[in-house]
Formats: sequence, C-alpha cells, structure tokens
Amino acid sequence: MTGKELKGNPVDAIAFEWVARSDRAPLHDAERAALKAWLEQDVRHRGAFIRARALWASAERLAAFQGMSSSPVSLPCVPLPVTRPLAASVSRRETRLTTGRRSFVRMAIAAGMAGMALVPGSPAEAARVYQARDGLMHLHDAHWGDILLDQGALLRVREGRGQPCLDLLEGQVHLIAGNTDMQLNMNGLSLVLPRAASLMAHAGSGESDALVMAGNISARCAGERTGRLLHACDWIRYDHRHVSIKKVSRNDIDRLTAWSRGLLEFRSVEVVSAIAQINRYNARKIALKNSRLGGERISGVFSLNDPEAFARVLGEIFGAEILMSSGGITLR
Amino acid sequence: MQVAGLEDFSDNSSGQNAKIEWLSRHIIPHEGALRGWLAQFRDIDVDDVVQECYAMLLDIETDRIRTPRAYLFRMARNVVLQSYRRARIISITALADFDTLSIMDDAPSPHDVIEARQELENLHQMVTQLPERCRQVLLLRRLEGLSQKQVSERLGISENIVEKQVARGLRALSRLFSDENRVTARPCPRSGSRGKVTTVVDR
Repeated sequence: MTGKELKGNPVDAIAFEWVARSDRAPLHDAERAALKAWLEQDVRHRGAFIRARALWASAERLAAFQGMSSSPVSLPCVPLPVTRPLAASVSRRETRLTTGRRSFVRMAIAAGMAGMALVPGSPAEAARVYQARDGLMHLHDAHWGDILLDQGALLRVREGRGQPCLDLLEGQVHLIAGNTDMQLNMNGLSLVLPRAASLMAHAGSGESDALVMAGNISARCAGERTGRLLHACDWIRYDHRHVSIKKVSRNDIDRLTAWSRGLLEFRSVEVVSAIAQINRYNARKIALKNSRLGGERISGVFSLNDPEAFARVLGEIFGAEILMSSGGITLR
Repeated sequence: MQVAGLEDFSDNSSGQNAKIEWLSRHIIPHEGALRGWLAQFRDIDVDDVVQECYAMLLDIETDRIRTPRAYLFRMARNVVLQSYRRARIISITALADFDTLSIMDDAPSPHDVIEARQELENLHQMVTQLPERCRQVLLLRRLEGLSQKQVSERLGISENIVEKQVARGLRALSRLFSDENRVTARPCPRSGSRGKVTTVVDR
C-alpha cells in the first residue's frame, strides 16, 4: 500500500471535511463562497464532493441496517428481593439499581415487577415466581448476582439457608453468579454456578439445555450419582433419556446470547420466523400480508424492541410496502 | 467556469437528495470493482477518473439507466480515453492495454445486479470495521437522527470533534468502498436456497 493510499486522496479529504461541516449546520456566506470557489476550480472537486455526499447517504442505510446494534437497549433493572416479600401491585417501570437493602425493598415495592407472584414456601424458605411478560426482565442483587429473563420465561427463586436456588420452569435466562454459588434446576438438569460464573439456560417441554459462558460449572442430570464439570463454551442438552455436551464457537455464543443484549441476530432466517421472533417482544406487532416475502431469508442484527426499524429494513431490502397504524405494522 | 447545479450542492433539495441517494445505492457499491479494473490502465490516476465519473453522473438523467454498473464502467472507460487523448506523452503499451482491457466492460459480470439486500449485508459487514468512536458518531447521527450538537452532548465531546469524526467516518467508508477486496456479497443461487443472503470474501 502506498503512502497516498494510507493517507487518502487530498481532494477527497477536503470533500469529506466540507460534507462534515455542512452536516453540522448551514454554511455561513463566507463558507458558502469558499465551497463554491473550490467546486468551480476543478471538475474532480465537484465529483469528490458528490461522492462524499453519496458516501454519507450510504452511512444512513448502514446505520439503518445495523438496527441500533451498537446502542444497547437500556433495560429496566429490578432489584432482586431476598427478604420476605411484601404485597405489591405489579407493573413494569424503569427503576435504578440500588445496593442498600432497605431502599432496595422499597424500590421493589415502588417499582413492582411484571408477573411476580408469591408462592408458598417452607418456613425456612422464601420463594417467588417471576415471569417476564412484557419484554426482558432484569433482576439484580449485589450478593446473588444478575438474572436476566427472556420474554415469557418463568423462574422460581428460592432462598434457603444456603445458596440461592433457582428453578427455571419455562423459557430462557441468563445468569451471572455474584459473591456466592448459585444453583439452577430445570427438567432434571441441575447446575451449580460458582462465583462470577455465567451461563445461558433454556427449559422447554421435557428438555433443557445450558450454555456456559464463563467459569467452571458443575452439572448433574436426574439419577446420576456424580456430575461433570462444564467449561466456557460447553453446551449441555438433556431430555431425561440422553445427555449431550458439545463445544460452541464464540461467534455462535454471541448469536445465541444476542437477546440478552437487547438484540436479535438472524443468520439466513426466513422472514416469517424473524417477524415471529420480533413480535414476541413487542406489543406493536408486525402483520405479514405478503406470502412471497415470508419465504425470503434475512441476516442481520436488530433491536428486539423496535419493530418499526425492523419493518423499515424489510421494506428497504425486499421492497415491501409498509403500512403503519395505531394497531400495528403491516407489510405487504 | 459555470458549474451546473452548484446552488443545489449545499441545499437539501429533493432533486439533489434523490440523485445522491441513487448514487449511494447504485454506484458506490461498484466503486471497488471499478477501481480494481482501472488499476490495470497505465498513466492514469484512478482517483481522478472516479471523481470525474461522479461529476458526470450528477448531470445525467439516472432514471433511464438500467444497469448502473455497466454504465459506470463505460463512463470510466470514456474518461480514461479522454485522459489519453489529452496527454501529450503516452506509452504505446498503455494504448495497447486500453484496447484490450476496455473490452472487459461489456462482458457479463456476476456483479451486474447487486441486490439491495446484499449491498446492505455488505454495509453491515463494513460497520463492524469502523473505529469505535466513528461508529458511535455515525450511528447517533444517521440512525437516531441526532444533530452533531446533540451527538456532542450525548458523548460528552465537543462539536468540533464530532465534525472531525464525521469526516473521519467518511474517510473510513471511502476506503471500505474503494477496496476491491472488501467483503462482497454475490447473487445467491436461484435454486436450492431461495433468497438466502450469502456473504463471501472475494480474493
């Protein structure tokens, strides 16, 4: 590569500066005159300026396609109550993280939690059930760690005398253990996360699986006397009859865990399936009225709570007509 | 020298914007291939030819262009030829090359039509290659529609820095689009995997 290539064409460089300046605010008279003079000086200046504007227009489409992937969704963070629960009406609102235990309970009452229900527990054990009904739900406790529930996930949290114990009843969660070990049970698969370990777990009908993201996690299936130690990138699946473990690449982990970052990552997914996934997370649904479009495939990273942006990208890519209404979004 | 359409340059008139949008969709994606092709000619400055092509494209009715890539290559060929004609001294080898190489622009190319979704897939690949600060500024400015002033407030940096980052982002995009070896999407097979978006690296 030559020095010129590294530095770039000087005419292009000036054109980029003019476009950047024009983008900041309207040009003053003197600047406008200077630009005009520069453009009239040489046809290449004019071409470079037009090209710079076209590149800037490309940046807009680039940003649209990126679907805000670099703008993490700010999730409401709900402190995880570890004291005995108080009766609270439930609604989802944005709360701030707080570490003080008293303010922590007060915050839980004030903010409430979507789908939280109290369940009977033994005298030594307080248990709660959380269900994410309106997008993701983030539970946090400075001691326990962080729990992120995917839309629809159903999780029971039991606080015994020892380590906290979680029962994943349905859906998927992302767990990051705090300053203590954390136990997770689901469909006969039991895992113990040591401090700072992290995993993604999923419980379906009669089967379960977990993907280790960090730390060494012990796993034991129903009926087993001894378990096994799982390491980062191990993916264990269990269905009461078979257990399998395989290694997953970091790229696949990024894709599988995208939802925990507020994103959906599609790799050659049929549009109809992609829409179904986006719709899971949003009250504002996308209705597909174009059967041909449903069979097309799409790849990309999208914000899971912005169906309008997703619809715009589909319109952009496949030329679909988009109808926005108060009731939802129609693609045809 | 009278420059047609100059008054529109810093205006955001709908006509200008439509033209700029057309260029960004139909010409910019082929620039890498064009530069690769032009690099084979002797005694020319590739940047000069590309800039002249853009200047000419501004003045023509793009609505009638069915195959922008072929049009771009043909236009570039003419610019090269004019350049040779203007040159006082030119090597015989260059002229011989020109006669041979200029045939190429009429040859069918798998890139004749880069479908919109594939081009967007390319852009998606490119955004990951931008410097982090540039990427933040570009996304805030172009995706969220913040003004440069708002971007500066959001990121806690001065407006001057934001403006410089925009220019830097344009330089990065320019390099990416100019690179003929960049990640390029190719038209997918029509059978077997209908509509599948596939990216491959051209080598």
